[in-house]
Amino acid sequence: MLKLILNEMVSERKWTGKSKGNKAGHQIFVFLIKHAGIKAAYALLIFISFYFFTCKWKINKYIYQYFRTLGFGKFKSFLSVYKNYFVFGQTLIDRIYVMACLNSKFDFYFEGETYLNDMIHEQKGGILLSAHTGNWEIAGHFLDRLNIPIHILMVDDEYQKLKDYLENITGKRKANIITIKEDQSHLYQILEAINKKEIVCIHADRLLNSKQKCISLPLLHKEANFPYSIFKMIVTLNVPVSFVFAHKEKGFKYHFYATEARLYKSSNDEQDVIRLAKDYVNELERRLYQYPLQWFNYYDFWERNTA
Amino acid sequence: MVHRVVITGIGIYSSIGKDLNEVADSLYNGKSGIVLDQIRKQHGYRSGLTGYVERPNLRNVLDRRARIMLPEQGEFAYMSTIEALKVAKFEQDYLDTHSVGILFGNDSSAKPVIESNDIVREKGSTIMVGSGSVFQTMNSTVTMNLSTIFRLKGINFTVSGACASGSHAIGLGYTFIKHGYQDCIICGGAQEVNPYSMGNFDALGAFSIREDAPHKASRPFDRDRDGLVPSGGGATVIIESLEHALKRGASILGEIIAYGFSSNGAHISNPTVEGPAIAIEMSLKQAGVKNSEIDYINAHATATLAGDATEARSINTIFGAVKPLVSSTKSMTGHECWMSGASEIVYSMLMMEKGFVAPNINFENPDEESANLNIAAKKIDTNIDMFLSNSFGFGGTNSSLIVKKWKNN
Amino acid sequence: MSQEEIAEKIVPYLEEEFEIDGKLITPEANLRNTLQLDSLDYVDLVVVIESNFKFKIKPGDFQNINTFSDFYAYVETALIQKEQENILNAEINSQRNGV
Repeated sequence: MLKLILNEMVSERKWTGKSKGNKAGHQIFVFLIKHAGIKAAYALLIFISFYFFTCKWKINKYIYQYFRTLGFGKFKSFLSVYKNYFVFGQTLIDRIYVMACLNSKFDFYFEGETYLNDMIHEQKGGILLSAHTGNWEIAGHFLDRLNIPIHILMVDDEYQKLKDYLENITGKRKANIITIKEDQSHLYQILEAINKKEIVCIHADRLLNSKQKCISLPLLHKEANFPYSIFKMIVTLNVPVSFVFAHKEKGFKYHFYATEARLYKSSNDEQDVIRLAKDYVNELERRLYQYPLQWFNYYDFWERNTA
Repeated sequence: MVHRVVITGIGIYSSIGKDLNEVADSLYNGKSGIVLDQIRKQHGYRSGLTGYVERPNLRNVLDRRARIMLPEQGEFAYMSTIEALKVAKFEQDYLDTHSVGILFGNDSSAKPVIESNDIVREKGSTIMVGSGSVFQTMNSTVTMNLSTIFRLKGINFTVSGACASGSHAIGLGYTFIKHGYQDCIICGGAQEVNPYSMGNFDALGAFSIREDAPHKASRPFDRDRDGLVPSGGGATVIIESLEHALKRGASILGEIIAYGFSSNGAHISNPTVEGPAIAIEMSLKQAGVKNSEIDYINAHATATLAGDATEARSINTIFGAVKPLVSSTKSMTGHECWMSGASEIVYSMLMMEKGFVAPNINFENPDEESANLNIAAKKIDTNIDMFLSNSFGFGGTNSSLIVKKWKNN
Repeated sequence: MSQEEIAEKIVPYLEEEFEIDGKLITPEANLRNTLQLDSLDYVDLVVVIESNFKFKIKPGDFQNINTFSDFYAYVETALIQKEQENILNAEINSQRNGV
């Protein structure tokens, strides 16, 4: 289980997209949840989180810096690091729980589901942008309600890692995974999906590789790099975009957000790209202020300080 | 208070020579700088005749930034100016610490405009023209660039007056110094020589088509003349107040004693007799000299049918009784347009210094008007104490300068 | 195009345009100082890049480019981006024409 959590986090300064699976760890937790209940799993998490809090200094530093950027005082930030590990662990557990269809305990609130329905109704396809915050994978599980094929864009290694532990629990995921390839063949798959008026989901908070073109925007009042290619692709495709997030709330609740689908198309592509990127970052920032503990980018996010 | 204005430096880069010595030699020997340019024929010109001016190689002379901002006429003007500065014994230190101005005649910069716009059209983007382009395209490119290169601190602008530009630039400089606004000004004229700059002119059918014999094509005052031949280059005339020149210990080459000017107020391109006559009269009056005191007239005479005839008549009405020597150096150089007013001062200064009147080559038969003039068909060795230089341009703009020999007392 | 290939392609043009010895252009060398760039020179650098790699760099992008190595990395990134855009546009156009 430790390895599982570590796999989800990043031990290097940069997001490497690589990790190793650990089947044994998954199975321990699945066993625990099924037979002792989710609260027992949370209880175990208290100790695991403490381990990380006291030993993984490098990652601590990044998360601490995140909280400081958010505006927390030094002591509060320090404590929040521990809480962040705990919540992260919870989201993983919740994920396993829900995917295994043991979801009787959870309440889900869909804010903006009508926007998504409208988008689908328009028959133009759609892009859903999210981030490594909250518990997006759980929301993904519920997109099935939309009755439309869903595609998820992922870095190949991230997919491999998820594949391992998800298949163990729930069988193959219902969504189709499009992995990003050097030869850009994923672009054709995305195009095909859009042409079929289907939905593609993308996390737009991480650069796919160091050679990717970036757009620099302030997140929490500090300049950070976002993947220009994603936004440019969306503008070029001339397809509606909605920003979607799913966040854990007290008392076994999940709050799902979807913004109104918008088309970013004017006579000036570059301006559209900037507008789209800014809207995305603004929405992301709103969520962070609302759910400050649910940030799961375990590396130096603001590394390339462009100021 | 009125100051006397003297010439302390001259420089030249033209179709008949790249420096004063070469040019003096060509003038003395009646050498022509006219060639037939096949590129112009391919371009669609009616006449492919032009003066030939070689572009100087300024690599290792000027740094990259200075060079990419200079169009060809700027390069010509640079060459003539460094020569003039040398003659006038100006060091860069002096220019850095004193207010020396620049007034050049120029009225076009067609090639850079056309080339840059072609790039914009082809690439669909303006940035592709490069950083030097805008500085090349403006009419004031010569003064803009030279004032930057020589770090000049005085008056700084370009005078546009069609084919009288160079003359007006000197006249204007003379006026500034005479009335005490500047001590020293680098004056001159520059003209680009390329197929882009002369096409519209060729459209008027104004050029000679004697393409079988380029050296014989420019025939001012000759009965069988059939039009002008365009040419160009750069010419510099450095002028200063007498006090300033004496203080500097500069050699004084001559004194400008008058700048006469007028406008025809008639047809935009057809010359008149009255307009130029007024300018000439004005210059004589201003100088306080009689017509008999003018030893040599460097005529504007471009070899157009109407132009030469009317100028001949103008000259005759004023000088008919005294008949000074007349020649048009355009017979050798072609019509140097914006440069000509300045270059002809340089040519006349060389004649004055060396004691000869350059021949009006290709003058084989006079016509009705030119028959009345004392035209130097061949070179004449003679003393010149005072000369008059005429320049007239489209729009009826006229300029007449009188220069007197400097005698050291 | 790799960074080495980019360097190989563009160094001769930089040598010619800015009139400097190619030996001075090393990956760690500072772009601005080596080429002696003033504010106007960035325009000419844009021209060199556009002519060679067919994409437009904005003078503002030079803020984060300090060494030649940074510069090659930037060009590499821009070329990848351009390739993606070309693929998308080609596909969209062919489908539009096919419909």
